[in-house]
Amino acid sequence: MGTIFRKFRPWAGRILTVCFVFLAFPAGGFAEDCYGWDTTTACEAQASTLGSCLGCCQMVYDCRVFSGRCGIYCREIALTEFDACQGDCMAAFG
Amino acid sequence: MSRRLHGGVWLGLPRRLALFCACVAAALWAAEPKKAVDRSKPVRLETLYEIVSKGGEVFGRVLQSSRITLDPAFRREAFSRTLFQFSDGNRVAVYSHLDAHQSPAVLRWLLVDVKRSEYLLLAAEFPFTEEQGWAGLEKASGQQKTFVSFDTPRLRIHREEEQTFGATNLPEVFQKAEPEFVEWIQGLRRRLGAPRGESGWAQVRDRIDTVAGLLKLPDVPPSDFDLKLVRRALAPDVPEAPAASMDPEFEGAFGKWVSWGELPRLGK
Repeated sequence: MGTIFRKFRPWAGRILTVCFVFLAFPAGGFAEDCYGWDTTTACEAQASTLGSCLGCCQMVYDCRVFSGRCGIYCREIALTEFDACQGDCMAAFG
Repeated sequence: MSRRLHGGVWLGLPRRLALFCACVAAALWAAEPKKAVDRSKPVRLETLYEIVSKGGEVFGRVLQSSRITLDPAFRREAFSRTLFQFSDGNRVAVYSHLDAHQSPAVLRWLLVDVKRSEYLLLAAEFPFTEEQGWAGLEKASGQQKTFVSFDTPRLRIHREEEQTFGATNLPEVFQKAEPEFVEWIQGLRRRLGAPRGESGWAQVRDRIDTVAGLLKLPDVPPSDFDLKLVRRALAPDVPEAPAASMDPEFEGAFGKWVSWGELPRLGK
């Protein structure tokens, strides 16, 4: 038993780090970060003022469109969601 | 002295009471929750901007308006209208309408040179299933892209012609047939500059850029102009209680090219 511990002791730090990383983050996966905004959460839930909420909408749109994953039709859909995001911000903070 | 003071106190009481009541009313008014927007019904979202140069010179004004249902679960269509008024008197209207009430979803863009009454209507459609809903529209749009039509006062290329010309050649056909219109779009894009991913510009300029992309027009340099917010408004917009226009005078300058909720009628 003691031999096994001695054998794994050099790896203990690395094993603990890996365990920490798995435990520290939710099982649902990583939130997609966009200049500090979470693209999977509504902007009005992350912001505290109208200005910051509208800024969040813009950043989320930019991340989506300028990431290269959004084609020409997707861009139009992203614009409608950008509109809806701004509407939500104005309804929440207006 | 004492009686006068006494009388003053009593005379002042109604005034104090009135002041107290006014304060309570003001506090209640301020504390009254704002009318909640029904996220399952359409709203009218409008923003008025000034286009300003780096030196602060006003170059034009833009009224950006959208009719949209905030909750995507209830969203079946999206309408957007951008009206440009430039200081040299030129006016441009840009519309887009995405209708997903049934499959295929139809996406239309309309660009109008108001002064010359010249227009370009582009339409594309992509099939999607009802179960996919709005959230599935993006995926559907990436799977199958069909150019359905181009329309100008002189040129009409619809699905039937697509087979004659070949889908991939349609932008070339358009460029050859409508060189003046292509030059006008490029002039407008050069004026506004390429998107830089900065606030406000996305809604105002990205649709023109999308149309240019569909027509396979070359890129333009980034913009030297900025947008300055003048005012914005949000109001419920349902048939029984339509939202009022933010700036009827601004809209009025666009004559027959102003429409709300649907594209303006084309032709004479």
